[in-house]
Amino acid sequence: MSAAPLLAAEGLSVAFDTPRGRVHALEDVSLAVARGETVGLVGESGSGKSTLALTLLRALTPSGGSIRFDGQEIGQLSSRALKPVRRRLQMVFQDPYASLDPRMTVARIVAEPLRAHRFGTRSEIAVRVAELLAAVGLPEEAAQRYPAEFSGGQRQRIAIARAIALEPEMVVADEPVSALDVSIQAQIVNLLQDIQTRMGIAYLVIAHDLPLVHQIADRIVVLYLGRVVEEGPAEAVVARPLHPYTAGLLAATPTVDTAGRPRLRLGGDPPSPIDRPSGCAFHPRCPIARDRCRSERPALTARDGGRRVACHFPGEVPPPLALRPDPV
Amino acid sequence: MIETARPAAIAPVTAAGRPILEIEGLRVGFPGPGGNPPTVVLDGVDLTIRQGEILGLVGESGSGKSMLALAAMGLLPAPGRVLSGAIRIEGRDLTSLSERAWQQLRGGTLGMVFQDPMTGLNPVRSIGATLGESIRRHQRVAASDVARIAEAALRAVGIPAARERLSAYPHQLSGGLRQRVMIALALVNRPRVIIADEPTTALDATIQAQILDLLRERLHHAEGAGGLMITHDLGVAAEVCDRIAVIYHGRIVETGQTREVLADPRHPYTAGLLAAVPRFDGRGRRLVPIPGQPPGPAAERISCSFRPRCARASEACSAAPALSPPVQGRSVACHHSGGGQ
Repeated sequence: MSAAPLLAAEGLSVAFDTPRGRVHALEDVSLAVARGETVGLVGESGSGKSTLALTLLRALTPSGGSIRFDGQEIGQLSSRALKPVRRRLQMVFQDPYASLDPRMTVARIVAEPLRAHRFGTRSEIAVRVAELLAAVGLPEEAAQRYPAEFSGGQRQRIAIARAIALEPEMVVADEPVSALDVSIQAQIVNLLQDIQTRMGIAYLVIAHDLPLVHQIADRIVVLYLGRVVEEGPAEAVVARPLHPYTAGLLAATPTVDTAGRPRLRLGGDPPSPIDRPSGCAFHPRCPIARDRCRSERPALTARDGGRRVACHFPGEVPPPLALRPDPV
Repeated sequence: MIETARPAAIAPVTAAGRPILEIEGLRVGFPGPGGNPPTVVLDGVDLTIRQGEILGLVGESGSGKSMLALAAMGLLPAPGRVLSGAIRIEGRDLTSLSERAWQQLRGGTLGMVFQDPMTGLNPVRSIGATLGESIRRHQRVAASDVARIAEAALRAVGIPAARERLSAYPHQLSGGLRQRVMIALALVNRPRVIIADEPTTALDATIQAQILDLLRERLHHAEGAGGLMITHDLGVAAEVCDRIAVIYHGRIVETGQTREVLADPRHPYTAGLLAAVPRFDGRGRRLVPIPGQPPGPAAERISCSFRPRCARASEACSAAPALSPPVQGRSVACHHSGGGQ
């Protein structure tokens, strides 16, 4: 990893005013994505992962902290000033049914960012659209058809073609495959990886599917109630989580290769940001919580191996995936 | 609060009890426009669930898995209907039941858990009122006992402060608690068959794990009952089900004990699904997708439906393969299932 990250958020906060008072959706979030790197962002409902994605893309304006893209501060830029950044920082959404305008042909959808950024003449754009459709594995004749004529997987290919049209340096993908059938998910995952290899794009992939994130990400960032609780190389975080929440999340994941193992269970529900617990926000569900956790919020602290964790007692919970039952 | 959930022992097939739910040659279809032949969404499905076991029906969208659940609950959306075949609970065929008889069955002999608990819970009635109504409808109990039974039902599914919750309304509960209430409602009248359609798909990971533990434990402890769980997620089926049936384009393509099917899939579609799912031990390995996409329900059935996506396909596959007779509980519908990869 080079010294200067492509995207760096520091001390990022986002607050919303609601009838029930001010809600802090994100608090003091720091995160960096290097060029060509894949960072996986995981968390449950209310963790703030989608808010974080929208804020990094500047669809939302942070109430505090900084976002630097390739060295430039973009946290408070006007939408006009953001235009050149948008070209380099694109997005793929979860629902390929909702994210494509049903009245536009595929050619128009894919050409839209090209036109907005004055890519070239009409025929240059047409050539580029054909290239892009080929790059995402769609037939040439797809160009003149409408989104409704395509399956979910093909629509996600269209959305990816649109996202890479301007050769961005980074794509934020919010649950890019979770709405797709299992047999189609792998096609899209492989496509995203191939594009990365070819174009050197950095990805921030938001997903609830931990095995998927583990498979594709270089690093994993775990969010809980608007804060980063753990971050580190994907392999290390999964093999030996330092935060008990990460351990619980891993243990909760039903997979075909770990089924039937006795495992750590987290009780209770994820709390609401409206009603944030004192001290460490995870303490009401934490299997190892002590008095200190109820009163004192743990800071995100650097550890060996490029890892960070916000826990007073990191690493005390045994690795969930190592808990194997007696062989049958 | 560390709970080490130990899965209920996975009983071998021989130890399971009498067949409790039998589905035989079930064909379900929707009439074609203008007198055209119907669109067949289930094409000759055979499934048997025995007492004490949970069968997982695994399939992708359009496979017919939810149609099978709806048919078995008498809730097929109009104008869909059972074209032929039988659905039997304890030997009694349900395909010709009146709507009134279905209403008596559902919530009593037949417990149901849906993906969205709001489907099964009335938003303007308290939890206690909904449970009470179901208890009075299906059990002969003194009026004074109803609240006690309802409270016990909530406690049995791990709902804290069960008595106070009786007066709560669905919207006042979290998604996880609502699904627990739904399960309490499915179990309160001691059903013989419990059908759960994607019961954890809408839940967060840590809550899903809690509900899967609960389903596994309660369904195995529901005496003399059998469970059918519909899911798109092989991992979920692996966690909960004793046996798995894989459905593709309205037909069962493979059944067997969960462990055996996952360890040694015989149908190329099952093998393909397993290769396409990310696993914790698969980092750095490329996922192997199944080419193409699942056929829509209206696609023709002249050959093996998986043929266009199958690496093993040959001339023989122009004839649709039948599901083989079970050998040690394993059945496969493939002309090439004997020859390995």
